Amino acid sequence: MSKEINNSIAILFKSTRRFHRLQQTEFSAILGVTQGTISKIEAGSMSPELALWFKFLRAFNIQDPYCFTYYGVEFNESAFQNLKTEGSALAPKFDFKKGNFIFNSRKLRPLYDFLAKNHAKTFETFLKDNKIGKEIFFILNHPITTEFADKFFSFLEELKINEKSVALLDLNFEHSLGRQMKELSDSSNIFNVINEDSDTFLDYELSDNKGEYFINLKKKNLPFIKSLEKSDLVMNYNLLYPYHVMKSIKTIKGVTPVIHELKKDQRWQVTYAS
Amino acid sequence: MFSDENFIFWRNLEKIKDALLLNDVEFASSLGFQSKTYQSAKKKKSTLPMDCLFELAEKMNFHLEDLLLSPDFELNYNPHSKRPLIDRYTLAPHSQTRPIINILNYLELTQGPRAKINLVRKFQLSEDFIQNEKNHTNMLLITDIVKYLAANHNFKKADFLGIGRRMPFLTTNKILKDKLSNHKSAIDILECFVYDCTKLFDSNCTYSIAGYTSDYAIVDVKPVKSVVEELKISNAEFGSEELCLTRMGNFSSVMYYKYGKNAQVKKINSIHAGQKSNQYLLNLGPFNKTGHILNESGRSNLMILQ
Repeated sequence: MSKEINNSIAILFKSTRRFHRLQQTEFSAILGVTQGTISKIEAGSMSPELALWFKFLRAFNIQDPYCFTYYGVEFNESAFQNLKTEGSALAPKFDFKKGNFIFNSRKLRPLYDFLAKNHAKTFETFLKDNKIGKEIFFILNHPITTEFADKFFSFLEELKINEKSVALLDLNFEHSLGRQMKELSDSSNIFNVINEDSDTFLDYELSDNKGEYFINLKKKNLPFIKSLEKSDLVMNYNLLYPYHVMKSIKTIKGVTPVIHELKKDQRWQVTYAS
Repeated sequence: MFSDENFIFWRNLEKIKDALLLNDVEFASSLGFQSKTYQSAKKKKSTLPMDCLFELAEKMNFHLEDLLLSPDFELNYNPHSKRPLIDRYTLAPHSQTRPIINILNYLELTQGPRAKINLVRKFQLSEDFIQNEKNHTNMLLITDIVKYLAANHNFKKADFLGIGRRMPFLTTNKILKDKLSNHKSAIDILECFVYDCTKLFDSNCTYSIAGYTSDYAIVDVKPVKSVVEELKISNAEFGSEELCLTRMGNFSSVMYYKYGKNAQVKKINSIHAGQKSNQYLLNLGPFNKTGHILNESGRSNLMILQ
């Protein structure tokens, strides 16, 4: 367990530092330790002292002291204020100035984990070619633009994951939903948790009938969706998001979901009776 | 810069060390440190690494933050307390200590003696209390223990079933063994267990056989209304899924006395899903080699399954 804790803290320190465009020397000065200490922590070879950990949380406005248990960190909203003016240090090729934010990294994290596990080399090349720092996926509330989403989902299509086969993926939500995973004992909790994610462009609605749920588009996001090149794949992944969560915590097993568009571009139903 | 917090940290750490009745050397070792390193950190008032403290906090069930930031931190543990149990576990004392002993033994078997010690400390169980089978407690203690094991010791379904299935190996009650070894058929054994044996160790519920065919039987387990009222909880709060799994393990192992193997069992109704009772479906097929026709025995309240 110690190694896992230290590896998690390592990536969270690095993600935070790189997001804030800090060198190790600057970062260590903020935290009141030597650069050598930061270097060892980011290499996973040293566990920070408890006091240093809490200093880190306070300095960067990170709420959850147990975020290392799910390899993810969330910053206060104010940390993202400069995205529109300065872009993101973790995705410098992408234009954040237009503010076309579609969802946040949390939505993509299960896909990141899947790709890192099953297509590590190819995915690493993709990230390198597009100058995307993997750390962006560890900052769970980092906004993602439509351009970024298109690029990411285009890569998925290259791996033959399309709008139909996306339903067949076995995804793990332990990192994206973090400690909330412990509370996800039934379907109503899942929908509450997903809908609490404030930047989602969809509203998920659990049905009274078993084996189905509904999704409504939040109107203001419609132009963004239409601008996506890979809109079908992006939409299907997002429509099936609760289905994937339920599958990952085994509240449903061995069922194939079907998406029905009830009102064009506005309301959908997903059924998953076996 | 951290001086106040660091003093608080060491004061709280000493409280934990004292509560565990360990000296500095033993405590340092339990945290994964050499005594020299521990003493040096203590002298400099530097806090200790996250990884070992996280593991300590998980085992002792306290918040990491409290260690550093709570000057009034109290560990909920007192080895000198004369009360055998805290108040929560003394209401409606209709449970025996045997299930708790079984759980502790299983935990020690699978995760070592330290895990067992920590669980005993977490729930403030004295040795005297545990070793005397005449002591009583309530459903809440057993439920809290199994929930804690699921949340903190990574116990899965197989573990809880396993706890229940150890019943034939742990039962020292000869009457029980005799009763369950000397019947002609699987359904006879099950009937004996349900109607004669369960009341020997569980006064919190009423057990009955809701129905059976030649290959399957349904056991119905309903909370006793007065117990639920005494505990001041609702039916849905009575027990837990983990506790049900241990009970399923018990049912499964009932056939072991005569046939040397466990029955397959599945839960088909749950009070946690709003039903009136828990119901468990047992597969008796593998034990009915002679083709004995069960539904001609003339038992009352029969309900032939579709």
